[in-house]
Amino acid sequence: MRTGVTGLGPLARHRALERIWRNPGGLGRLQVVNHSVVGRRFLITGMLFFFFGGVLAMLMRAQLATPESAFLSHAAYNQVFTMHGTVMMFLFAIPVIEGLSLYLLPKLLGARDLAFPRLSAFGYFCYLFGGGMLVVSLLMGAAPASGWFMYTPLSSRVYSPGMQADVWLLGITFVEISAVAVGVELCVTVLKLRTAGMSLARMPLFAWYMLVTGAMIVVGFPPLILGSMLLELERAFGWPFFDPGRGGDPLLWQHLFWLFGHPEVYIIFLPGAAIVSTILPVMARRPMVGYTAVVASVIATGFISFGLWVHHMFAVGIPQMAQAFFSAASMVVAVPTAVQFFAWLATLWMGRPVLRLPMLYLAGFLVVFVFGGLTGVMVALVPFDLQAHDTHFVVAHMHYVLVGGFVFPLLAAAYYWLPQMTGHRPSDRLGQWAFWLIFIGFNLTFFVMHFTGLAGMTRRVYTYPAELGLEGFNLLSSFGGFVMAMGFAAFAIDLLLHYRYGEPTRRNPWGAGTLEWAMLSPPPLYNFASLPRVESREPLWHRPELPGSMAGGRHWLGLPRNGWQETLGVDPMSGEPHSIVVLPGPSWWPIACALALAAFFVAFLFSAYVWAAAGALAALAVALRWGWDNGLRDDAPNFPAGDGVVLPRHDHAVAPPGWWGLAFALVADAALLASLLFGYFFLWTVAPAWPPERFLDAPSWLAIAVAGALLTGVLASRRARLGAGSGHATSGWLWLALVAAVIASAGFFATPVAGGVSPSSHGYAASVAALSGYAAVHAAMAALWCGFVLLRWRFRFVSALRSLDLQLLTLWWGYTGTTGLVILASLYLAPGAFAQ
Amino acid sequence: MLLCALPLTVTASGCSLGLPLSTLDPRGPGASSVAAVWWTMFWGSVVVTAFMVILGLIVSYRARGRATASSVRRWLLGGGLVFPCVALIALMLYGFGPGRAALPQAPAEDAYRVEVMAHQWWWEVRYPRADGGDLIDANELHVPVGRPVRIELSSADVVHSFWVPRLGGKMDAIPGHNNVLTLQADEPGVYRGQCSEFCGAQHARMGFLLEAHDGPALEARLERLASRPSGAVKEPAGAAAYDRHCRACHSLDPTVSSASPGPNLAGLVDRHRLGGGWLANDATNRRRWLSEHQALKPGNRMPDVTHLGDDDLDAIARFLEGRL
Repeated sequence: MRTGVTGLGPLARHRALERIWRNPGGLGRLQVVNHSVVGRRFLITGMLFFFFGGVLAMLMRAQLATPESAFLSHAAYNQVFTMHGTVMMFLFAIPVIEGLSLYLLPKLLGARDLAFPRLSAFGYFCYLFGGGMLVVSLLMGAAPASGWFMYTPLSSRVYSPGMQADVWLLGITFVEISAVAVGVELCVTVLKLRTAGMSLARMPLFAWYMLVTGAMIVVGFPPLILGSMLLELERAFGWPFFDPGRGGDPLLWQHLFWLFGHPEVYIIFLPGAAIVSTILPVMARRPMVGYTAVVASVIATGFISFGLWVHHMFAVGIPQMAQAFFSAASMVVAVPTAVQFFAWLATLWMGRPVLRLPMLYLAGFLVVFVFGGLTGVMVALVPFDLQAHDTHFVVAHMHYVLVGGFVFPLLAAAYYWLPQMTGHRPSDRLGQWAFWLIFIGFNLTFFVMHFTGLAGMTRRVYTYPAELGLEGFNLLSSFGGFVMAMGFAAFAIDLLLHYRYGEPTRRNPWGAGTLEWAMLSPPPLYNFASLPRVESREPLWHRPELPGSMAGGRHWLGLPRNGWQETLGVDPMSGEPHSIVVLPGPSWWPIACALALAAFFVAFLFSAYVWAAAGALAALAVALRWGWDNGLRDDAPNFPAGDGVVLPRHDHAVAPPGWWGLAFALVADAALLASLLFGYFFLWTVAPAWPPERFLDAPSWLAIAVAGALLTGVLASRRARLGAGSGHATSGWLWLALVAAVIASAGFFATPVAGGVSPSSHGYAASVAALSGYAAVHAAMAALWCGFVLLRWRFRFVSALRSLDLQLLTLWWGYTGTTGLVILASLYLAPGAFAQ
Repeated sequence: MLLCALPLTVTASGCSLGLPLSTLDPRGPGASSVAAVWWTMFWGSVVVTAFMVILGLIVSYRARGRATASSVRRWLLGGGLVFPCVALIALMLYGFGPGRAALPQAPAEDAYRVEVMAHQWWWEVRYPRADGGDLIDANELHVPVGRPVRIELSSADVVHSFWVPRLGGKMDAIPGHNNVLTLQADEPGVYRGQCSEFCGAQHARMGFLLEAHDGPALEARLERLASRPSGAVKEPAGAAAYDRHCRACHSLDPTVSSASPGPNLAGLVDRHRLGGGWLANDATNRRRWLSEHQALKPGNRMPDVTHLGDDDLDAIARFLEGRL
């Protein structure tokens, strides 16, 4: 055995790293945070939900196969179609995307794990528990039945009494906490945790796509989280955000929902395109053509996708100018997609493509998605949309886009990466059967459905009369649906059997160029024995010897030390290493925190608000305890990292991953606040039953006191950080910031009361209370955080070198102060401004 | 696959698209222009899809490995930017021109006005009269042929959507908002409509009819509705039972809207259909509705009245028939 430069043989190094990265067994599996394991859990759970959602689809197709069928009652059908959409969107597509990228990203980036392994484990449990709530409700016959879009007033207490709608609002919010957590995880991992020399321009395209997707999740999900919170406040406590009789407006819900819902479509499509851009060049045997153009078009798609939401609402009575704008924007989004398409074709053209199984699925994607994109352009045309909207035409369009744009690439990904994941090859023959059954069945079902819709079949109807003459179309669609189901069954069988009967694979069976193929299959928990410096986008194509030298520990971080789970922290732009990130190991805190949150959601569902509050406090306590474990109590020296470079630990660096994590979380938070402010001003300008009987009439000294406290807190927290840096006393400034936070929080809590507005009286009063509540909670968190940092200062977790706690606190206080002032201005100045 | 399925489906649909709710069998200017736009876009999409597939096959098999860097740059620019931009601009110019007829128009002076209030799961229809009062009916609109009809939409409960596919696009009926939809029928006839925004249990059975009348037929139809309250009462027992059990929700006076949830029954016997468009409106079905309405349209807001017994129900039915 050859000995590497660090004195360990490959086998000894492998054993040492295995010991460090080992996962507990038995019940301890619940503690596991490793990205390969958590990613696989997301993938497996998501696929189970996919098959569950598929069974629901089959129930619908069975019901619709014949007119006036007695197979399902209206009550059952309405639950089934609501749950089909909900399951496929929230419990299949998004989690599977997350699972795939959690699993793959570190391997593609040349990292050993994600930036926040415990956060993604926490995300998994939130997803599992929230999804579980929804499934249990369906099995008990009490699933949500107001559609996956939950339009008010149908989903309000008056028209949906009982807890069906609450199950949706609470369960989905729980799942979305998971999505946002993973969104933050993806962004920070891509920006910070790469291997040496992997500048932005050398990143695999997959990482670019997932960076944009992660950012879109972070900005796109909060509007729906906010909408769900407001609707739940209306249902539980009578705050009338959406009640047109009391100053609310049902249209506000539609705006918030589609403000999320349209980016959601691209959040699902971009990962599909990411898969294509990764696999297709390998199948074509040459690098992707037009890398820069593709990156630019992905970023453009991300931006444009936030300007399209109103095209779901052309029939609600939108002014013509707005219609024209959103119509044009909906067409413009086709351009970046076309750029990617032609880049893929050019890659095939310049390469020597081979038709292996993944390529077959990609071919299916190209055909189906092109047609879906074209019908998308059609419905962007307002006059046509007003005919096609809410008919089966749109059902067909949407399935062409989502199944074409995501499911076909996902199947390609399965056949491409399964050998890497499990070390076994799936069956070519079953895979081909599955492809043709799915492809033929899909087109039969949904191509016909365009005409069913144009012939007058509206969406979400549980039955239709024979005299409409739609039974031929519907029967054909149902038949196609069952053919497609057989295809997915074949795929499922392959998935189950290959693990046992599939031939073992050799390393890198496709001859790919990216780093995930430089490791053994199935991959070891530590991914790479050492992290190479990369000089190109396809390191394995340019340096075929890399897998051997990496296993030999001849690159960065090749020497296991201190039992630390190490990976490189890099400069986001250049990819030059500037710290050694020491990652946390297995822990009970993520599942404990998720369980406490589950207690909150379930108690809220049963209107046990005291218990709900207890659950929320418990979750907060666990989160603090979880945070306590981070960091060291003594300053550490710099350590040799590789290439003769010595680097500090991440907790001794400026702006380590933790800082970026909070920054992205605050972006999500800001998106939430922006949605709330949008709601406040939207109701003001659009809602019927305005103006309210009275506006906020709080004493102006209250506003001045709160503003003063906010500014004091921001400055004091900054002084505390600067003081720590120069070795001066910090705790005094921290105490000042704490007192300021308490005053600001109390002031905001008191505002609606002092101002004489009662939240359940009018949409205005409810928005005032929601805005004050938002600011009050943030200030209360700031107070808690100051206390937490004081305690950690006392226990020596914070020093001049190890200032992450103070960096985070400053960031939080900066956000709280800024948004607090914006909220104050909106509360106190708006009535005057609008009165004029 | 797509290419094989295509002629089949199009042929099949060509034969059968003359359906009651078909957007492709238009009878009004709005729906006609959209149907024309559709067929252009449809064949355009088929051509583009076929073009992309053929292009994919050519680059993968025939021309592979032959590209040069400069030809690829032209390719990305041409295919990725120029081609979609040109196609989209052309489509917008074409689609917005003829499509404008389908957009809700500003109130034309000569438009015929009807107000529609959507309920779970039926439609209240009001005809404003010259004397300032309204004439009220349910689930049927009677309009003149060849003249724009201005339909003013609102909702009494949840969001619904008003759609007569053969005449034009749909418009939502939203509580707290008033929307306007302008439609026009070019030929006399009975056109079917359907709620197209999901509105709860019986969204599926929330249909309605729009009848376009020639000249004086419309006035005659509305006169008949207006004269309903003076109809002779031949069935005192039924009248009494109706007063006790039905009147709280169902007014019999076509000029008085009942504040309560049920449709006005003044024009009941003249309507084409029963129960939101699902049942033929004949004596048998009207009697059936009284005892089986929860089976015919499960979950509708009318309470079960079978406890009244057959005698009372028969009497109520005879009373309603007697007003004929």
